[in-house]
Amino acid sequence: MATILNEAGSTRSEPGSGSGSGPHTSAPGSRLGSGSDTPRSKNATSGKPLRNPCNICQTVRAILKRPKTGQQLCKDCFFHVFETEIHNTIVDNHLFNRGNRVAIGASGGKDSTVLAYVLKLLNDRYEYGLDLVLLSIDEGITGYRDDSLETVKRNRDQYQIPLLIVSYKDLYGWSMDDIVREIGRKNNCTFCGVFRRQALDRGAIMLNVDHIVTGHNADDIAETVLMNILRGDLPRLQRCTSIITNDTSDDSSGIETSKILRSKPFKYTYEKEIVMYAYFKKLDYFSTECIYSPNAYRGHARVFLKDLEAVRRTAIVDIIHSGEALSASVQANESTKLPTMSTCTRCGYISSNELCKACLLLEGLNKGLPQLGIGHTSKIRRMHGKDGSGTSSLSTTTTNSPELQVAPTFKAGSPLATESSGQASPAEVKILHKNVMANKAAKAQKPSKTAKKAARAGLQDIKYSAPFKDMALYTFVLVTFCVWRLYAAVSGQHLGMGGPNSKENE
Amino acid sequence: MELLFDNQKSIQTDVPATFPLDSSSNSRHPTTIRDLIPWIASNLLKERPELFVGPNGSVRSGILVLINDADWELEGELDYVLQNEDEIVFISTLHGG
Repeated sequence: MATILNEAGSTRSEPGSGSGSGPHTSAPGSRLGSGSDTPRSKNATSGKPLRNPCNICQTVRAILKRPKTGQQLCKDCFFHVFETEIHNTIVDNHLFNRGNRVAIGASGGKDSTVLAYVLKLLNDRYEYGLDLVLLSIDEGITGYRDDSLETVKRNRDQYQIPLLIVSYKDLYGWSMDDIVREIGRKNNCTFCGVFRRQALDRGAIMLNVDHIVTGHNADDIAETVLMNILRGDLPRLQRCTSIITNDTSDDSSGIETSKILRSKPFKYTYEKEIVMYAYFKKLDYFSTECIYSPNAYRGHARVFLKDLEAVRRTAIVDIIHSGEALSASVQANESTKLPTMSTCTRCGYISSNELCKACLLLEGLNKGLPQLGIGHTSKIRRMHGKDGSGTSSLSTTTTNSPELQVAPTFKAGSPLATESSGQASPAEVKILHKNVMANKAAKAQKPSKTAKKAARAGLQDIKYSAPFKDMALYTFVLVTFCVWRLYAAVSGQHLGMGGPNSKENE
Repeated sequence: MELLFDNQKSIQTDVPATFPLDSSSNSRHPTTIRDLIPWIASNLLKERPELFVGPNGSVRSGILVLINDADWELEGELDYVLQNEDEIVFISTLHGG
């Protein structure tokens, strides 16, 4: 394509300046067409009527259209409105008490950097009397986290907030690099997410804080609401929508974790505004996607959300609102009992099961069975306990009787639901066998009615069959069962229908 | 985002002043952001253009655009006509917090 250079039209005609200038150190993002460090933020040219005046002060050129309201604001008015809204969120929801020690979960990314900056600013401006600390988790991802932690270290110096970094390697003996070497790129986010949540708790205890704040923004929460609705994960739907969660343990022996609150002061703050705030304040943040997470599912939710927003400006708050309304109605409905939080019998940290997911995953890693805990946890827990190869504590028992009342629909999708171990083994075998049955039926493309039925019945469970791949013994048993079942199917025996309910039928 | 542009955070470049109105006619119109985005994709992008250009010829959703440090939503988005010495900033929001 020819580059036309002339006085009338060329968009850039500084003679002598090369086509690529040196890297910008302060500003995030890619700058194109600019070599200067002094952005022309205001229309200083006097005389001309102001284009796009700020809706609030009317005297300065607006630089941002607010996604929430459509308001046009200038830089200073935007800063003021942005900070004041977060202040109002904090005050209205009574997030903090004077004298609280608060850990800011800091990754070095845009959200947590802005959160640290704004909390520090508001703490000084409105005299919250908070003792702020930065808490970072080092997952051990070379080329990603090591760089972002450098950013957090600079933030520590810039904002004068002390920093604690806890690493997976120290806590669990495994860095994410190690884990990915072991299990490959698939499912590694499960490990990372589960470990991170607990690592934040552990770090918070080390720091002796009352409260952890995280930089989850409105867009994140709306995405999570969508994902949890699509998965039918009501307990998580509830937790992701509440601005403040207190993982209270009913158990009187619950350790300190139960006292630590978690909150999301950016719950009503749009991602766009956070990014713009960081950009205009020239905050130092790290902007690279994690090298291990293409995160396809969230990506789709995100694109869908952006499309909705294009049609309906308030889509994000609407979805957060519907998430809140749904979880409220779940709470109101007494028949749907949600699992209560207790503590893990092995490590003592917060868990909704007897053995927490982090311990389960860790055991899998250490035993060379990394698939343990990925997919349908409760089944594997039971299977593992039944197997006898694991420690007895791995099997979920009937001690938490209220959890047994979880409505049947939860059993299918939610790893939080547990079941009585008494009936575990027959149901287990049937489900397993149905998976393979469905797979086989699908593979063989058998047009027989019963095979189709089986496929439908097993559909829900197909995705859980993956964890068993590596276990030769189980595979053998399953294949045997499958052949038998196939034979049964051909000879016209009735097969049970419907996911979890079929356990009762059979 | 820099990765897509060979790790350059900032690029000064000359953009054609006008683009053909359509493939058949000879008439040309002044360059707009709508022209700029595919031009960047074909001239400056070093890899994976699908991470920059969205399906509708605009930037991929999740990339913020600033025209002379102002939100492009205030400047007419794709219809904005480029001026001399304009500074266009692309900020990706597509990464972890």
